[in-house]
Amino acid sequence: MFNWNVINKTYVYDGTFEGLLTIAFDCYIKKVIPLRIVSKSNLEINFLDTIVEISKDEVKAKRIFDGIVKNISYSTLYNSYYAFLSDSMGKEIHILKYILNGFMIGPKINTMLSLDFVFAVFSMRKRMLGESHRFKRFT
Amino acid sequence: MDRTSINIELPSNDSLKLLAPQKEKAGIVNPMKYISQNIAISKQEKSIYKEKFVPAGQTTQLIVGATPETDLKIMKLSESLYNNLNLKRVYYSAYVSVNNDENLPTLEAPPLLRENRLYQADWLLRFYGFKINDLLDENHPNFHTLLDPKCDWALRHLENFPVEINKADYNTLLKVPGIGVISAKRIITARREFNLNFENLRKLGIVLKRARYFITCDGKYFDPIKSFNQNFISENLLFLERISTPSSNYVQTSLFDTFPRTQELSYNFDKLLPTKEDKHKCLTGML
Repeated sequence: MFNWNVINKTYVYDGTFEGLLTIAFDCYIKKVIPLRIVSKSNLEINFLDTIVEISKDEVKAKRIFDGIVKNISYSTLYNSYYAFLSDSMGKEIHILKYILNGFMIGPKINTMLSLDFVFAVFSMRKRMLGESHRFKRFT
Repeated sequence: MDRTSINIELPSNDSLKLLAPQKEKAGIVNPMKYISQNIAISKQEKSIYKEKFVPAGQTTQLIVGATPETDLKIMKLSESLYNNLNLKRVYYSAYVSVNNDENLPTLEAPPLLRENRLYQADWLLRFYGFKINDLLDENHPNFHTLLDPKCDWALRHLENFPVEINKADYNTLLKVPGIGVISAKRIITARREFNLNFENLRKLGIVLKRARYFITCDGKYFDPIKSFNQNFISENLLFLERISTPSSNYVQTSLFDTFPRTQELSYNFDKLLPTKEDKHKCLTGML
């Protein structure tokens, strides 16, 4: 299965879903996984990290977006987007692993709950949907 | 109208006569029958009428502890309500003694534990495929105070266990204590690709506190030394339950207490806890 190089770098993106998909595209091309992914607003600079800034590229994001629907499944796209909307720490790295592994494995990734990143994405999605449901009582 | 609730209030005809002589059994059951029939009719004629009759279903309520009925009798009543009248839920409320009357019992505290056990058994009836005759019988008419109904059932039916997590079907998984509807579904999805072990189960968010005594993963039991036997399991389960209950009789002292309140709070499980003398005996070795 999945054993790409983990590189000791911190990827910084602009905090949008397209930005995250751009990172996924770059990682897929280079066959690497960064140690951390942080959005620009949450970035804390320290001298140990090597920071790589990745700017949003709509073309790359569109290719990954369509590729998920074509090669993995529609629900994978939904799961990763809902997980992205949640506010938990380290959500980006889980989503990245989920998407990249999905390209390797295919639609079966959605049943592999015993992989920790898949379960993390599923639980983030569940928590996010529950929270949004609780807001509906005020409308 | 969203839902209707016709309250049975008391679980048997005799206690109705005793405490609520103005009510009759027929006066409660007949309207319930009428409602359930009409719900069935409106389901059939969904295409004709736009509005459903009582769309959220029918419920009822019972008072527990005011009359000497056993848990078996109460649960049999609610089982028959679920089967015959298609009720959505039966609510149980613990009796709180407010008035003094010769017909009413005086209780120090409402029987909340009993209420909780009844709700647990109620869920077992509706979602877990249990029947009340499995859970209780004439020899055990009441629920165990320390163990929940499913655990109690499992300990009395150890021939069905241990269950192999990677092979058992959904209904068998549901009968394992500590595994519920969500956990069982998760196990079934997750095991399609990988064989599960105890570490995986923990990562899937399945509570192994009770479940680990009743399952095997790839033929392995969780404890490599102890094997599956009744004494080991019941000792451990009772011990675990005892840890979660308060370990001493400490009470918040008040300025206005004339006498020190030491033995006032006496729970049922106090007999199981080691007393001061027991601890002393352990240290000195006199058993």
